Amino acid sequence: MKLSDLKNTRWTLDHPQLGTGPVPVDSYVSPEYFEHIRTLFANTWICTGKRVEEIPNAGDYFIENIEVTKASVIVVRGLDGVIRGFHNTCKHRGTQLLFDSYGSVKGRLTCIYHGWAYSLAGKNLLITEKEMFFDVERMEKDLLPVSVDVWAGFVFINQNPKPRERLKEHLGPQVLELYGDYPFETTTVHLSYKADLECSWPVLRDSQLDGYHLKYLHRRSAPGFMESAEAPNRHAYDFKLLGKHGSGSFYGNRARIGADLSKVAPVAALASKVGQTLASNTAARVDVSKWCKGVNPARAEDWFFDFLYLFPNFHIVFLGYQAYIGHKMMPGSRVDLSSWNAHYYAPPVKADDLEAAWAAEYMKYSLRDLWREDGNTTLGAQRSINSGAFTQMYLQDQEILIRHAEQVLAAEIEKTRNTEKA
Amino acid sequence: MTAINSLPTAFEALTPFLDWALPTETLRRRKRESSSMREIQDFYDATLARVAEIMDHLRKTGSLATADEPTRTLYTLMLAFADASLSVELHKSPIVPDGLPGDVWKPEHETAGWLQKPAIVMQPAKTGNA
Repeated sequence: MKLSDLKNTRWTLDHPQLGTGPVPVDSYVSPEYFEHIRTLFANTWICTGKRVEEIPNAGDYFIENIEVTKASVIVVRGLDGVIRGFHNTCKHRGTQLLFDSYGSVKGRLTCIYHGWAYSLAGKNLLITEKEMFFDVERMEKDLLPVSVDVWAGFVFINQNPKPRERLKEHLGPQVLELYGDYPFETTTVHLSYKADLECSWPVLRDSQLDGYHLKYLHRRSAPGFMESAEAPNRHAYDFKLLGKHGSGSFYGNRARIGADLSKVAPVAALASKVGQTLASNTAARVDVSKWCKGVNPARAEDWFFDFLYLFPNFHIVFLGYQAYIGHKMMPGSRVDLSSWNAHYYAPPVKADDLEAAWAAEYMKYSLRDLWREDGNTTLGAQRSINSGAFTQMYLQDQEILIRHAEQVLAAEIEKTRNTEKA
Repeated sequence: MTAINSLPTAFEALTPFLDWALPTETLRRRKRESSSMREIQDFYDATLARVAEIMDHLRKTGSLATADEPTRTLYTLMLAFADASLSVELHKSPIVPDGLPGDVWKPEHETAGWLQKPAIVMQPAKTGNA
């Protein structure tokens, strides 16, 4: 398919409930609204960005520190292979049980303070000097659980131990159907960058919700990748609203880029051939008709990337058949603070392939610099919002998912508040 | 004889650029971002002229774990070259124009916590306890 073959060039009009007027930025600045966002994040499924193969053995764990709810959560694989989550809090005096962001324990969690110990399933195993305590039978001795579930190898947590809906219900039938067959299990994390930013979480969220900015903001780091002579003002093959979530699929002339690059950017061209980079003609590597339904739904040869926004905090950017980015975007402790953690996932590099290892490092640095371009736009936008100079956004058709994300956020906050009241 | 920080004999001509062969991504990025375009271009030009032979050498080497010290140094130099190439080929600048300062955008994969990560074992997805 070509971009000019598209009949639908005004996606927003297919969804009259979204409207076409300016979008106010109250959620980007209001401390009152931020308290609702805080409650929402304490009661919804959050993608950690971490994958099951990162904690493969019993006792392997990682810690999630969630600034917006102030929680520290241990996610650990049990002796039975099941991954569980607990507040990182000893029931005796509240001391943190673990301190490292990743690690492995031998069969139990032991508090450094007075030696209390817990099983990997959260059951209290040991109270030291037990006979000196009072009413031991009536003490709450087990770790406070956090809900954990897995989709596509990604670990999700919900701080509510009795969530309003299961993870599969949260994701919804369309996401499961469209993306269930993507070969996630052949990939793992290659890199992780983090930044704590002085911008609100919605500003950060929106920074990866349009494909319109690439041609402009990334004109240096992705030169000409989205320039289409036949449809100069269009970039998207498709947009879908998927319940709370949303997806977009975007044009790119990677096939021609390869040839152009070898003259002006020989190292970029070399890395794109030896490994998989932004410039690799990925649609030519695995027959596009064999891809999962959701990715490159137009089955276009001239394809650059798709994104899938998983409400509320995770954007997957598909760059190929077995290559994708995961942006974990979290609110911070205040309305005008947030954190961005960007990952890239692909099949593991073989230990005896030094050429491929070099190309993977090239990809790492090029993504790093590309994301630094994105990061800077958010800080400036937040300053404009905070100063009162900017109160509403005019969004074009290809920014449809920003409209949708704001409506979903408001609706989910409402649902969470109603559940709390009930 | 092989002193520390020497290159394989075939690539000794690149010895003047060994100050780029720094051990971490952060140090190499800082080196790039504090160099002039002239310095970056000189390193880029000299290495690009030999890149086919270097890649050949890396291909034959196979695993970094068993590579000799000069080859490991050459590989580190090639990582700096990858970083420097972004300045020459894409940014036309030592830094990322209009980008976040490099030290704000932190590589978690270089932290002590990340280095303690359990070894990855590929496996099919499994459901948790929810």
